[in-house]
Amino acid sequence: MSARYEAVGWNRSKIVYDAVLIGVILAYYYLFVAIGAATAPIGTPPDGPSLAMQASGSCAFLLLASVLAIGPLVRLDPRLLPFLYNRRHFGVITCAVAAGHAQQVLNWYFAFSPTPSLQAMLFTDTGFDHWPGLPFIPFGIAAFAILVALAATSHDFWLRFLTPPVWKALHMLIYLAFGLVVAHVAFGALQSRSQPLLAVLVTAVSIGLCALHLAAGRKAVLADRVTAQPADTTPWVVATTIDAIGENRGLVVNLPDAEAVAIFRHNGHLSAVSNLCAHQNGPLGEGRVVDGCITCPWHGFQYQLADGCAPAPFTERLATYRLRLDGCNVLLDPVPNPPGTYVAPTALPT
Amino acid sequence: MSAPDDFFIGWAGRLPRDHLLAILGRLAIGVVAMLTLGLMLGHGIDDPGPGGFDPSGDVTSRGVLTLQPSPILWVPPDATHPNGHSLLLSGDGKRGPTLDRAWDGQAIEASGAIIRRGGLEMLLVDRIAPLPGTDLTRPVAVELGRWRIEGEICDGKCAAGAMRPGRGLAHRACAILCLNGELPPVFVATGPINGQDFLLLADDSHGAAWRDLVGLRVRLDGAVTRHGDMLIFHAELSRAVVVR
Repeated sequence: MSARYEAVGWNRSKIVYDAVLIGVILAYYYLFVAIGAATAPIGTPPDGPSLAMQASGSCAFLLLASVLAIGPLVRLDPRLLPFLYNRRHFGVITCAVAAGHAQQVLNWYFAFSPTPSLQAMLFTDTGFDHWPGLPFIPFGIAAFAILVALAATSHDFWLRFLTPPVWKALHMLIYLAFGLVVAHVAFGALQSRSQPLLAVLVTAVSIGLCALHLAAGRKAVLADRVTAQPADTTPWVVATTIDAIGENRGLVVNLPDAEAVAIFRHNGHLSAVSNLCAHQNGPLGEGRVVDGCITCPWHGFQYQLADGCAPAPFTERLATYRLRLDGCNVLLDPVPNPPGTYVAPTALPT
Repeated sequence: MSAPDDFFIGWAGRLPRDHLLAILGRLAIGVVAMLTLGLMLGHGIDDPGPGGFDPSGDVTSRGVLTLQPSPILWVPPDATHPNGHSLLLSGDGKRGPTLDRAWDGQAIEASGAIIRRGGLEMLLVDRIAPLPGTDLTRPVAVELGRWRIEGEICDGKCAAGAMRPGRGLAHRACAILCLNGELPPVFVATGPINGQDFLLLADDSHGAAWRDLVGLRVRLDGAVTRHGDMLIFHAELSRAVVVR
C-alpha cells in the first residue's frame, strides 16, 4: 500500500521478482542462440539479426502467455498469490522484450532502404486482399501498441486516474494482444517454418490458456458464494445465515442487477462492504480480517469494517451496506451507502 | 500484524511455508519449461540455405553492362568460367546500383563485394566506370522455349544471401522493399531448370508487377532464354497461379 506515488515502489520482493524474470529471459536468449541454434543440424546458420528476432519474438510470446496464466493459476491455487502481486512488472518486462523484437525487425528487415524504416514497416506490404500472403506484421504492430498502452498505464497513478473499472477494462485488452500475437505468428513465422515445433507450441499454449481460464472460471462459479433471496420486508433481502460466515472471514453475496457484497464476521459482529477492492477491484470477500481491517487478497489493501475507509494516511473508501438479523438469517439492504459511510457493525447474539 | 498463517499479504513481508514451497515448485516448472523451449526452438531453426558474402573481399570485374531486364554485368569467359559469367548488380542496402543509362551495352569495370548462392551471384557495386575503346561482347541469347515453373519470387540480393533467411513469407515485406528499391526480382525454382536453381525475372517494372506474389509458392508460365550462364524468365503475370 502506498499513500503517495513513486515511479516504482521498490521493495525486496519486487527486486527478486524482476531479477528472476530478467535472469530467465537472458538464459532463454542464451540457450536459443548460443546453444540451440549453434548446435542445430543445419548447413548455414541464419544471420545474427534474424536469429535475435526469432529468439526475442518467441520469448515475448511465452512471456505474454505466462502473464495471462498467472490470474487463473492464482485462482486455482491461492498459494501462488505472490506471482500476482508484481504481475504488472511482468507485463512491463514482456513489453520491453517485445520492443526489442520490434527494434530488431525495424533495424534489419526495414533498414538500408531509401524509405524510412518506420514508414517501410507500416506501408510496404499492404496486400490485405489476398490469401495466402496476408500481411502478418500489422498484427504484431497492433499487439505491440496494446502492450505499450498497458505498460504505460500500469502505474497506480493511472489506476486511480482512470478508476479501477475503466483501468481493468483497458487492461483486459491483453487478451486481444495475445490473439493478435497468435495471428502474427500464424500468418508469419508458421508460414515459413518447416519444423512443426513452433506450430505445436503456439497451439498448445493457446489451448492451455483457454483451459486454465475455463478451470478458474468454473472454480469461481462454484466458489463460496451465495445469492441473496427476497425477504418479506423491503428493501431487505436475505443474504445468508449467520453460521455461513466464519470468524475473520468474508462471504460474497451476489445481488440481482447489482455489484456483489462482501459480509465479514469479526469479534461477534457483522459488517458489509462492496466486494470490489478500491485498488484493482480485487475480490474482497475472499480476503480476511487482519488487525481489525478487511484485507484484500490481491495486494493487501485494507479497509475498516464499520465505514469501509482505508486506515489513515490512506484514502481509499468502499461502499458500505446496512445489515440486520432475522433469527439466524442475515438481512441486507441492497442499496449501497456512499463510500466511507459509517454503519454500525451488527452485533451477533451471544 | 496478526495475519493468519495461510493468508499471504505482500507488504507484510512474510510468506507462509507451504506457500513458499508451492511457489518454488511452480517457478521451477515454469523456468525449466521456458528454458527447454528456448533450447528446442533454437535447435529447431530452419536452414536458410547456403549463400552469403564472399569472404575473400572485394573483386574487380570487367564486362558488358546491360540495364534490361535488370542491371547485369556480362563477364567474358575466363579460366574459372569458360562459358562466361553473369553478375547481377546491386547498390548499397536495398537499392539498385547508380548507373548512367548511356553505359547500357558498353564495356565497364566494376568493383565491390560479392554475394553468392549457388548460381546466383551479385556484385555490390562500390566503384563502377566505363572502359572506352574496350571491345567486349555480351552472350548470345538462346531460346529455351516456353516453360511452366513452380517456385518463389524473391529479391535477388536477399535470395543470394545478403539476409539469411532471405526467402519465405516471413521475409516478404523485406523482399518487397528491396524490389521497390529496384533490386532485381529473381525466381527461385523448386527444382533445377537447365542446371540453374534461379532465373532472373524479366519485368520492366523492376518487380512492381510481381509484388503481390512475392514470397508465395507460385506457378508461372513463360518463355525462358539463356544468356551465357544466366536464365531469364519472361513470365506472364496474368497466368500466375498461387500454389500455396
